[in-house]
Amino acid sequence: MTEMTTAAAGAGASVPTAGPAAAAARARRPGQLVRFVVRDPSTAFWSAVFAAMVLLSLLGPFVLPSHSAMEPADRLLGPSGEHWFGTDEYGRDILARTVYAGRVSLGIGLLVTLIAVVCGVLLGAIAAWWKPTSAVVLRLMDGILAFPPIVLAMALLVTLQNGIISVVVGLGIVFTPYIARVVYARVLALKEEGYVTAATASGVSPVRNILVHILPNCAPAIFIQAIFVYANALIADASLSFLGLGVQPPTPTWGNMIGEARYFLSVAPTFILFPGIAIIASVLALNLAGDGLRALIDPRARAVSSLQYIRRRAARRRRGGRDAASGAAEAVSGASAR
Amino acid sequence: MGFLELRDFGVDLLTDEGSSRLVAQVDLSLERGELLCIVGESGSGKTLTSLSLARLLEYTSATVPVGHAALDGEDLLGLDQTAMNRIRGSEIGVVFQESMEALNPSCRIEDQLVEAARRMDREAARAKALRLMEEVGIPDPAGTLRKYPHQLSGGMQQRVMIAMALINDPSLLIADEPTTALDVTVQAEILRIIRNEQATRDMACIFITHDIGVAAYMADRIAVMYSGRVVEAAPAQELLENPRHPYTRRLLECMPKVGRTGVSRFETIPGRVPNPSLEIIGCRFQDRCAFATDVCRTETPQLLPVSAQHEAACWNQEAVAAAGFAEDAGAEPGRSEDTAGRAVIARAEDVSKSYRSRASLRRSHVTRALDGVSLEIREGEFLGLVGESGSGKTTLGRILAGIETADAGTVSVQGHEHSRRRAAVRELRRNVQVVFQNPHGTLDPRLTIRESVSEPMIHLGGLSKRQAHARAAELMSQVGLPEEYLDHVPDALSGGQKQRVSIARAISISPALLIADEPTSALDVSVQGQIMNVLLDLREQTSVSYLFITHNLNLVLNVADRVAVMHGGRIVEVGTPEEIIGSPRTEYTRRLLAANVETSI
Repeated sequence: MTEMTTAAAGAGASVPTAGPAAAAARARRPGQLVRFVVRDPSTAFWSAVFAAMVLLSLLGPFVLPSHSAMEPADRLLGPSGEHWFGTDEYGRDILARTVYAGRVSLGIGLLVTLIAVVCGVLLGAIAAWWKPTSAVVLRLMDGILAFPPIVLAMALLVTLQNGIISVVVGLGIVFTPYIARVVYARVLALKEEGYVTAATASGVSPVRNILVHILPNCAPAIFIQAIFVYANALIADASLSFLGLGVQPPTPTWGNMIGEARYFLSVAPTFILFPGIAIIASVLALNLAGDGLRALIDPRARAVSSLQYIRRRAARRRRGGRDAASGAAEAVSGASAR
Repeated sequence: MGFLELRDFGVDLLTDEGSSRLVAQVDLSLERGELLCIVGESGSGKTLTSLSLARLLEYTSATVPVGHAALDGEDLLGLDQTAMNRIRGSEIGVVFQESMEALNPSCRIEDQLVEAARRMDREAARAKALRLMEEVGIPDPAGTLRKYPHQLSGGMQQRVMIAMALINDPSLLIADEPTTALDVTVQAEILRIIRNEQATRDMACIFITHDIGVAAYMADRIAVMYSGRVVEAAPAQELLENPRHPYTRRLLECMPKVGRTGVSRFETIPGRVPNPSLEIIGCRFQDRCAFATDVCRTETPQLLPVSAQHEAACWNQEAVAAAGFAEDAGAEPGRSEDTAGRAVIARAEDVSKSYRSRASLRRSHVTRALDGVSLEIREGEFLGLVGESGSGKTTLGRILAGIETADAGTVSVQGHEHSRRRAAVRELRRNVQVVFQNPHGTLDPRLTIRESVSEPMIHLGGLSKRQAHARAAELMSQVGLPEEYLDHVPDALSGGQKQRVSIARAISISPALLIADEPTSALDVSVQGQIMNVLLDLREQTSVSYLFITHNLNLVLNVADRVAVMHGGRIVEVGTPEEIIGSPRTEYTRRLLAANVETSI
C-alpha cells in the first residue's frame, strides 16, 4: 500500500503535505478544524472540555463573587440560587473557590510540565547524542523513577520550604524522567536518520544538528508526553494539597478544598463534590485528548475508532449491494485504517 | 478456461471519501504447471492484484477485490473468509518479500511449519517439514527446524518460507518479490528452487517482480502492469523479443545490459507513473510515450490480441514493433577511461574496523567489517565498489567520508590524513560529500528543499544564507529539477527527485570526491537511469571523482573506469570493467558475474 501512496503524491502538480507531522499541523489549521471534529469527535470533545476549563479558570474570577469573602452566617450551605455550589465552613462561595482553585492547580500543573519538558529535553538529548553521558543521566533518571512520584515529591517538599515554588520545582524534578526517556529514545533513533548524517557531512555542528534537525522532528512526541505529564502533575499536586503539603490555605487548590471538605462530609455532602469533579474532568480530558492526538500524530499507533469502523462497514455494504462480489464485503473484519 | 482465471478483475480502495479503483481490467489466465511473472514498477499494482485474489489484503487494508476470479472453477471472490481460509490452506501457497517479517521471531521454525500444515497429524507434518527442508536445499534440515528465524540468514529464511508455502501441496503458488531483499548470488539459488518446485509439482505460479531480467529467467509468460492496468501479456520469449507496448519496450531499454562498458548515458522513461486511482482519458502511458498519437489522448486502449498468445493494450503497436531498440549512448567495449597515470585524491591504507555487539549478558560478538583494506581513488575517476550485503563496502565509504573512524590504518584525502581536529574535519567535509542510499530518509522532512540544499554551502562553503539560497536555483537545473521545487518540502517529491536533491546538496560545494552509497538501489529501473545520467553528466562538467558503492555489478560495469570487488571485509579484486568481465581473477568475482548474467537480458 505504501507504494501506492508514494505514487499518489506524484500525480498532481500541487504540493501534497503528507506525513505524520503535517497531519497534526493540518488539524490545527482553522479550515481543517471542522474536518478534524468530524473525523475524531471524541478527541475534539475532550480537547474542548479542557480548553473550557482553562478559559473558565482564567476568566471566571473576574465575573464571580470574591473567593475569599467570608460570611460566617452562611456556613456550609447546600447549592442554592445565590451560591450555586453552596458555601464552605467559613461561608465562602464554593463556585468562586473552585474556579479560582482551577487557576492555581492548572497553573501549577503547567509550570511543572514546562520544567519537566525543559529539563527532560536537555538531559534526554545530551544523553542520546553524547554516549558517555548516557550512563550517568539514565541512572539518575532511573533513580528518580524508582520512587513513587508522590512519595518523592513529599520528601522533596519536606526538605524544601512549603509553598507554590517548592511544589513546582519538586514536581518538576519528579516528572523530568518521563520526558527525558521519551526524548532519549527519539533522539537515539533520529540520530541514525539519513538527514542527520547528511547534515553532519554538510558540516553542521552537533548543537545545531540537534536544534534544527532532531528536536523539531521529535516535537510531536514530546508534546504528547507533556500532555500526560500535565495530567499526572494535576493529580500529584492535588494529592499533596490534600495531605496538607504544598499550597497552603487560604489559597484554594482543588486538593486542599477536598482536604477541608472531607471533615464536613456528613454536614455538607455536596462540598467535596465540586472540586472532585473539577479534578476528574481535567485529568480525564487531558488523558483522552492526549490519546487521540497521539493517534493523529503517529498513524502507526492508530487504532480504528469504533465510529470509523462502523462507517467503513456501511460503505462496504453499499458497495456490496452493487457489486457481484457482495460476499466479500461481509467477510471483511478488523480492517485497519492503514 | 484456465486453472486460474481472472476476468475484469480489479481492486478498490475504500476511504472515508468513497472508493477508488487501484487496479482495473485485469484479464489473465494461468494453467497448471505454468509460471506467470507479473512485472511492474512500484505503484503498478502487481502486489495488490495477486494478494487480493488470494483475499489476503482485506485483513490489513481497506481494499475490496471486484470482478471475477476463479481457481479451478471455484469463484474466489464469492467465498467468505472462513471458506477462503480453507482454500488458502490447501490450494494457495504464498511466499512474501520480507521473510524476516513473515516468520514469527518467537517460534521455532518447526512449530511454524507444523502450524501451517493442514489435514495431517503432528507427526506427519513434522516428517513432511523435514522432507521439504531438504527439498529447498537447507543443509542440516533437522538442526534448522529447531532454530529460531533470527538465527538464519536471509536466504535460509526465504527457503523456510518456500517450504512453508509448499507444506500443503498447493496448486497455486504466489511469490511476491521473494528475492528483492537478497544478494544476487543467493537470489540465483532461490530462483532455481522456486522454478524446480513449480516444475516438479506441476503448480501454477504467479511470480511478482520489478526486475524484468528475473522475469526473463523465470517466466513461461510475462504480464506487464502499469499504473494498475495490465498493458501487455505474452509468452516470455515473445515479449522480450517483440514487445508491442511502448512501456514494455522502454523497460527493456532501461535495463543495464551485460557486457557493456563505457556507457555515458542511460535510457530512461521521463515523467512519473500516474496515480492508479486517477481517472485518465485515453492511455495511461500517453504522457511518457514517444509513440503517442491523438487517439491515445481520447480513447482508452483495450488489451487486444497481437497473435495467439500475445496481447497488448496500445493503439500504435505496429509502430512500436517497427521501431528498433534504443541503445545506451557510448555503450561499446573498451571505452572506459584509463586513469592509471592520474593523481591520487583519496587513499585508504590497511584500514580495519570491527563492530562489537552484545550477543548475551556475558558474551559480546565482534564483527570484522573491514579487514586490512587498501584503496586508491584517482582524480576524475569513476570507481565502482561492488559487494554483497555485509561485505563492508558501506563501512569503507563511511570511513572515507569521515562519518566513522577506522580502528587501524590510515585514510587520507588530498594528502590530508583524517583526524579529529576541528579544522581537519572541516577540510575533509569540504573535500568529500556523500549521497545516501535511502532517498526518503536523507532530507529533513521539516525543511524546504532550498534549506536542505543550502546547508553545506552555509556551513562549509562560507556563503551567506542569501548567496546559498540563490545558488540553490542553479544547482537544481544542474540535476534536472524545476526551480519551483525549492520551496517544497520533501514529502511532495518522488524518490528519484529526492535523490536528485541530495546530489545537488552534495555537489553544492564542489567536492573533490563524491561518495554515492547505493544511490539507486531504492529506485525503479527507469528512474535509476535518470540518477545515473545526472552523475555521468556531472562527471563531464566537473573533475569530481566518484566512489560509487553498489551491489549491482551490471550497472557499475556499464559506467565505471575501475571496479573494486569486496567480499567479507576485504577487497578481492580491482580492475577495469574490461578486465573484470574478461578475466576475473577470483572465484568470488566469477560467481558474481555468473549470477548477474543469469538474471539479465
